[in-house]
Amino acid sequence: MSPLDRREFLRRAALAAAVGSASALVPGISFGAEVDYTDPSLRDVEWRRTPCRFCGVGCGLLVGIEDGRAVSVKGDPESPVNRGLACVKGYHSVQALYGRDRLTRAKVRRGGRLVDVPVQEALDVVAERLRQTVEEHGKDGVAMYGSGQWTIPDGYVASKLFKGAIGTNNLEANARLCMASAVTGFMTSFGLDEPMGCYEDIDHADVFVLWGNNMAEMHPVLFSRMLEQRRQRRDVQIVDLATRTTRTSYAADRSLIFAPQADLAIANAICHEIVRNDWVDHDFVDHHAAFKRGRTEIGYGLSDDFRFADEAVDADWDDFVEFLSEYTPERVSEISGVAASDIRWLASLYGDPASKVTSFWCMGVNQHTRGTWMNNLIYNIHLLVGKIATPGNSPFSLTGQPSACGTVREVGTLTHALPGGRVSDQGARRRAAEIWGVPEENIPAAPTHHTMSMFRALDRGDIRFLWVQVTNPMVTLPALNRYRSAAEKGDRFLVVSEVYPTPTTEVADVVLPSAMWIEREGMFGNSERRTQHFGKMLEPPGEAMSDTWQLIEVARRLGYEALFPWDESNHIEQIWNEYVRFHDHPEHRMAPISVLRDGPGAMWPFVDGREVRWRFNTQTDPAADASHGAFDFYGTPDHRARIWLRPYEAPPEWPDEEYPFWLGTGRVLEHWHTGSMTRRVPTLHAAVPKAYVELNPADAREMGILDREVVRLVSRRGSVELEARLDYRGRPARGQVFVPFFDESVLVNELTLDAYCPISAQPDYKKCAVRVERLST
Amino acid sequence: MRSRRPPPGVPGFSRLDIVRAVVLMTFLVLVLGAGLERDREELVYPEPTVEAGGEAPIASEARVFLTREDELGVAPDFDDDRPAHVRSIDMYRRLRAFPGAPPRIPHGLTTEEFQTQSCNVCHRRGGWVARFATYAPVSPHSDYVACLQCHAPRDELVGRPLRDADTGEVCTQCHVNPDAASPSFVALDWQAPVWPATDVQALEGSPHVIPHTVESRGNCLSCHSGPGAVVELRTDHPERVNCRQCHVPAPGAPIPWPPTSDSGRGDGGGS
Repeated sequence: MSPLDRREFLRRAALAAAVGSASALVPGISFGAEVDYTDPSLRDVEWRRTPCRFCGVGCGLLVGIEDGRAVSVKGDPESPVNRGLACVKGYHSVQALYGRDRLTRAKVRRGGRLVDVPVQEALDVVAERLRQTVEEHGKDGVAMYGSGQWTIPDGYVASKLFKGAIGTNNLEANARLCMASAVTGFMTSFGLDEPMGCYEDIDHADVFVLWGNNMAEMHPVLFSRMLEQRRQRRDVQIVDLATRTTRTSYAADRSLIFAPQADLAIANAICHEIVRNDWVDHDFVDHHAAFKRGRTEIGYGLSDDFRFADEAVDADWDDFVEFLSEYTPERVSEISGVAASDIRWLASLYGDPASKVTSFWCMGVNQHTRGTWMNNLIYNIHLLVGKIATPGNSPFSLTGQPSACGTVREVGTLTHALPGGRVSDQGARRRAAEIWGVPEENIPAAPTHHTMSMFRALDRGDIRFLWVQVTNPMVTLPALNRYRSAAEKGDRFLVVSEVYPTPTTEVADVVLPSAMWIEREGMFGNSERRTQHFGKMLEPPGEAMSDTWQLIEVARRLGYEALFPWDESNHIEQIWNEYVRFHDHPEHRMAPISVLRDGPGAMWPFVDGREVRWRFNTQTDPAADASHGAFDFYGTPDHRARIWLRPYEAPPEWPDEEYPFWLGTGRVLEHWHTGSMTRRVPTLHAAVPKAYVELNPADAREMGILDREVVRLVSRRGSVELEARLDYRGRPARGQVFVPFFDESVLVNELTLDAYCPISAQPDYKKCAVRVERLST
Repeated sequence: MRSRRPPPGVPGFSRLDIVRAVVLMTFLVLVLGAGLERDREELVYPEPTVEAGGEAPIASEARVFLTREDELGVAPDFDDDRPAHVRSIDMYRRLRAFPGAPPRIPHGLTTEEFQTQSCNVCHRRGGWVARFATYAPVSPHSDYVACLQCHAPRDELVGRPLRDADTGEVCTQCHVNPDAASPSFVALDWQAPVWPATDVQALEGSPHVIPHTVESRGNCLSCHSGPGAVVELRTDHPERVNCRQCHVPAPGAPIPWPPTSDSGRGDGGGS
């Protein structure tokens, strides 16, 4: 039926129905009642609520479902996160479910080739190989590597299986590559993880300082919330403090460009000026802060046998002032390239007692060989001026992934962690053993491998079996060549749960097809401590199965039926009810599943039916004890937050004559991580079809490089060929280049360096040395 | 090799530095003194946002009375004999992945337009754009300024604005198959829903119902009147500005509210 015919048909049908029903009531007069107003197909669209699949902002979306398929998306106007607005990835997110090459069958490598097998058979292979590897190489010969895109039940079941049942701490997640420094920053400054504030801070702040954070592309909905505040309240200021000019810089009131790594010095210089001008909130510092000094010259984790443990030593106000004396704006100006007057101006923004200041940061600060220190230093600034844990005064660490907080940080899917605690803490082990119903001695007290160490162990052969879910390490690991060859070694067994073919499934021995996002029930936890639930809205294609259920199937095959007894029809609720027992105290209580199912999520601590929006504040947080004053930083034994004396230290690799450029990597707005989903969405693919290297136009001119010319980028670890782009999305400072990592045909991580922050073990993807070569002259 | 370490040590103050510092401090004292006189603002602990409401404007109502006279650059009864390019409903639909999706940007952008997102220069008030020999469509939500957050460009048109409207390129910029494969693109098995009918009336001659959601689209006239509007969607009576006096959202059609609750049993996630 052509559209015209259909419309005509509809109109006539509607007219007939209306006339018919109305004239039955009042003969002779026609009324419009119970009329079909629109297209019948649209009338059947059912709208269901879910958090977005992609970033850590956690926008509420409404997905239109029609005849068992997702057909449209709109922002959820009831979500306090995004209030009805989404971004281009969110609006097109459901299209990522329908790529033609979606994995619908399991595959097992036989005779060098991956061949389709029934999923139950593949699960048998996985379980058998896991059992055999434990027998031959011990418990620590097997490992699991998940992600911040795991739902909370996925991560919880993985933790219970590996730490509780099998008994190894070889459990890590790709959030190590993105949030580990944020966690160690929180732990060392406050003793408890995750932000004290919430997104509502945006509605109250007068000044926003963005530390190395291209929010316009990476957290676009929060960025728009901030722009809206500036539109409505004329005195709102946005300061972009970055190494590269981006869309964010253009929208900001000021953009200050600093040399890579110099953020450490700038943060200390801001404190220097705050102290020198006596903008310090002495009352706050006297009652709520304690000074600490840690080790210095702490290294970069480049060798396999690298070990580091920090030592906190007490310091006092005088030590702090003396420590800062080195960081005059003039000296820091030399290190950073930012004018001394601008550093003073920045300090005055934080120092003005009448203004409320929110700092945002994400990968620029976290993917940093001194990432933990950088997190500490931003907290130092806010603590010095007492601008913290009140509306609008907020040092706000943003996350990248939809459930980096909910799954990796709160469930604790990292080698040193347990749900709500640490493996090294006997109390946490005892509680886990009790809730899980396993002997306490099952759970080893010593952490094993963080992510970089885990893949190095795979290379050496200490780990022989690795199961990867919801992440694509063969695109994302730094210094990639070494780790790909590790996975390819003949006696290493790699299981990959995925939704599309990727460079990681290419080297897998078993590929398990996963149910994606709203094809199963689950929860994500976003950057503001908000847990959001989504129901199963669609049937997964073919034999695809949720990651949670894959883990349960394997656990049962290993003989752990009693630990994983849940019904398939209701296991998510049963898992949630077991999991929340780990957080059953006012400092971290989670909302019941009924609350999560009925609304746009809930922030923890969720106490007496209310969310805690500002933690540690005795007016808003029931866990904060007023006997400590207006604030109670209850994560530390002395109820005080830490001000750390953390110096500037240089990065391990620095541009030189042979490799004269800094390379920074990152994302673009239209693509999610390695692009395995977004590159299958036409609108997103057409917007950024391939990776490119962004050069400063003056550098390009000197080398004679033209826009869109293919060049070679070379580091000590590898080389890639890709198009040069000049004045495209952003403009790196002179002597720097930028490459996005979404494109599996340009593996920029073959160039990056696997140096990491010794405290967090998070690698630095923003700084290594490369040269740019022309292919033709 | 690790050359070019930052210089160690603390540089001494030169006389110029001291002069600078004194000037700056004086300045800071003046500026910040004014700031200090303001009392610390009373901290506000607003009611939890879990409960919807408060003083934020209601999204679907915020722009209803923005009319051409006070908002738009072109009068509704504007008439012009320049041969303008006319937007068709077919093109309108092809730029959107599904009804309600943000449209792609079909045309070339200068680098500056792309980097600074200055779309509202043309799309806030509309008007003749010589570069494209046509009238700009007017945004129904021009108070949003981060346009590229939702509207994706096509890569090959970034940095390649049209300067000469007489070349054939004017057509091919917009009239391409949006799904045209680049070598690395994998086909999508996407079934977009049928577009809603645009001319549904309860009775012959009664006002048309609104077949789409009105959030972010509350300013009816921006899309339904003027030379930049899609020709099939233009109203013949733009002077009557209170559109929703007569036109109501179609019941049951685009956005039933509230959304279907997920309460009750979870329905698992196994195979």
